[in-house]
Amino acid sequence: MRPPRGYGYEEMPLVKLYATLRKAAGEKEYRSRARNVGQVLEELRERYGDGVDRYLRGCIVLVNGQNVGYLKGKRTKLKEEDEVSVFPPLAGG
Amino acid sequence: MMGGNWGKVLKVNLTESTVEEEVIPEEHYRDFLGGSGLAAKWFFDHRGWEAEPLSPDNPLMIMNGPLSGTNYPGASRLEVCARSPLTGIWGEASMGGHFSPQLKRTGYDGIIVLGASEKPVYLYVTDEGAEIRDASHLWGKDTYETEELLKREVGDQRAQVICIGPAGENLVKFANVMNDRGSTAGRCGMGAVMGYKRLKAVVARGSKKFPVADEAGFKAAREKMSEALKFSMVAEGLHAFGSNVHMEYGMAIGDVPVKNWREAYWAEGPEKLGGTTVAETILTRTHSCFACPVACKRIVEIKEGPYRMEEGPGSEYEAAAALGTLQRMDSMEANHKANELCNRYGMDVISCGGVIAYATEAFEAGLLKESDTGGLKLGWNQPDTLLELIRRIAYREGIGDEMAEGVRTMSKKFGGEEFAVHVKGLECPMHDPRALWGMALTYATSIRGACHCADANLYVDLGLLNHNELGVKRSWPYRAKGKAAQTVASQKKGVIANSAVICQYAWNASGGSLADMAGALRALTGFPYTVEELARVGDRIWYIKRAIGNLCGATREDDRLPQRILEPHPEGVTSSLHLAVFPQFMSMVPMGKIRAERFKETTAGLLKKYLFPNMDKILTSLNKLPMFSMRGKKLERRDPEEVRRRTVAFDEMLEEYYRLRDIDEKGRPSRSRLEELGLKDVADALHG
Repeated sequence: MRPPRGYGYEEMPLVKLYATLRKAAGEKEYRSRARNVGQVLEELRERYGDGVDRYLRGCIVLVNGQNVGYLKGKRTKLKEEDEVSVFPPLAGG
Repeated sequence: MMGGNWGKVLKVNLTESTVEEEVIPEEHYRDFLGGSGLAAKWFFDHRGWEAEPLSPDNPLMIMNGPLSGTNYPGASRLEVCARSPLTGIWGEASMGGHFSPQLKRTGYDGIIVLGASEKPVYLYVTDEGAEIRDASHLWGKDTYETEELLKREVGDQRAQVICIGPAGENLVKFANVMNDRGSTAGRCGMGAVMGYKRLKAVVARGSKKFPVADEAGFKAAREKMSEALKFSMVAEGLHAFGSNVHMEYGMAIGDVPVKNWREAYWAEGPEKLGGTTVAETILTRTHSCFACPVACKRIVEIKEGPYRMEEGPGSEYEAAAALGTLQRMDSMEANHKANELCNRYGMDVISCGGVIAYATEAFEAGLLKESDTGGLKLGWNQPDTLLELIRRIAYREGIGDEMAEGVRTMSKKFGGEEFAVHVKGLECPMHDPRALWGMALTYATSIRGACHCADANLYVDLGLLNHNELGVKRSWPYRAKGKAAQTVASQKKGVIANSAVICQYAWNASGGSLADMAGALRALTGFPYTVEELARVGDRIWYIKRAIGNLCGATREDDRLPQRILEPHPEGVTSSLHLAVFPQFMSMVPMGKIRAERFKETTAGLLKKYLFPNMDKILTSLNKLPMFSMRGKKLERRDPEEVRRRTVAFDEMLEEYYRLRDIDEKGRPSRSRLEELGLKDVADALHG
């Protein structure tokens, strides 16, 4: 994968996958080239195929622990050091 | 004839060693469903509040609901109710497992136990009725052993047992009732009520088929629910990782309490204790309650090491948090061992974890000395101390004797009430109201004290459920607006779940539809339930329970949350700004030298009244000043948001809630509201 705008692989945003989404993707985390949250979701579909699509419907995305619902949703911009956590709909407790 | 119920319960008097049947009028079933709703009605009609919690007259009610024992997904549950020895008010605890269907097949909707036996006994319930049998040989045995021995004794492996362990026998105030080793009626100390009555266990084995009003209709409702669960993401997550699937997400949003609610975030916690890690390491298989397709229970095995554990039930989320993150303990093995000990001794993991975390902080603050703890040095992340404390609590040894009374009593004696996290004496479960504001109202206004299962707010605030069918919009997780209406609607559903009786996981995972529930109950019982009627039933049950609370002495003053869980975390807030916003800041100033208590109080009062409510505005404007933004620790946009998020606008939400619920200044429901719901007798008892 080509890092965007010339910064190195290690400096790209880190996308972490959780619970059943992690199971479906078969991967725990990866470095992303996305520049906003919407692009992360598209990238996930591209990367893991249709199998993950159902987990992404109604998923919860946090950028550095902040729910993007309270930031700018899919338009929330990502900086290189950001950590994006993607959770499928889940509850317990 | 109504379906889903038998129309009668067993009434057992242990003082007189008598067993009789009591017929319950059909309209009581219609108006109060069953489970804890019907129990509350019985309790009210028999003036249960006049009996002290630990006295022979306190009725212990083990109640099924209409759904119990059917193969409707999640309907494996029953309710154990009595006046709680821990809180002194109405106590109820819901239990899954496999006991409920067996009890249903005996031909009774429940068992009401009165009186107290002189010697240990157990109750054997079959199609022919109940028999009181000697249990002297079982006294002192843990719950795992008791269950096994009793199944062998009655000679039927399909018989089901609910029992207490040493904690219940020793009247630990938060002792629970256990079934199937890992299913518990956990909260409010129902095990202590059983222990006081010397009732070691109840064994049930039945073979009767109960009536269903509309077989085809009920089958269709059941299939609809099963179908919904098949495609539910929530159910899938629960099945794959158990209820502890919540740990990672919860930690990310600040919902998981750490170090007695002091820290907002502990990155390593979920890695060490979360459901995903358990599934990758010690999980051997999953397990389910009766007829449940979700199967969220974990069976684990720890093969070696100091916390070796034979294959058995593993921690669910509440145990992983209360006996894990709350103690800031990072050993998964020790956490599961602690959970197993609580199960064996028969103790509620939430209250047990809460009281240990309180004691640790009190020890740190010097309120508890080594002389009090019998030489034990309490501290965070000390697995061996944790396990030892659990044992001492169960046997009421040394400091365990004080801890067995719960945090409210203990903090009154030793001090530190500001960090004794409970409501009405019941220790708070492991969801932080600072992350999900709905939980603040849930805890404060739940009938039995701080409880997360009394309503569906947790699921609504997590964004998985809505109340559209009740005409209530979902509110933002950390905004006050709309929270009261959301909570009222959530409570209607919660009350229905605990009366019908159905597992909240299963129901909510399938979408939590009240219309579907009305359809299922209509087909099952034959009563003409609609969404509106069911909502009214939900209200009726809530109000009668609230009134029972009032009759037991609860007022508005009891609907309070400890300040610790309303204000920003003392540790672990995202920036150094916490020094400026947390009231403990005042104790960091050398006040000892100033010795001006009034000054301290006034300043703290001003801060609370003016500074905290406007903190977000102040910080946003500060952010614009160059002197702040040029400092090494630059204020980021999310900091003021973070601060606002974690200072819960509790009073505002509560006032609105009281208005919607029509609660007077003494905390009682108004006469008109009670009469509207057909509760004139309750209004008379309450208002004279």
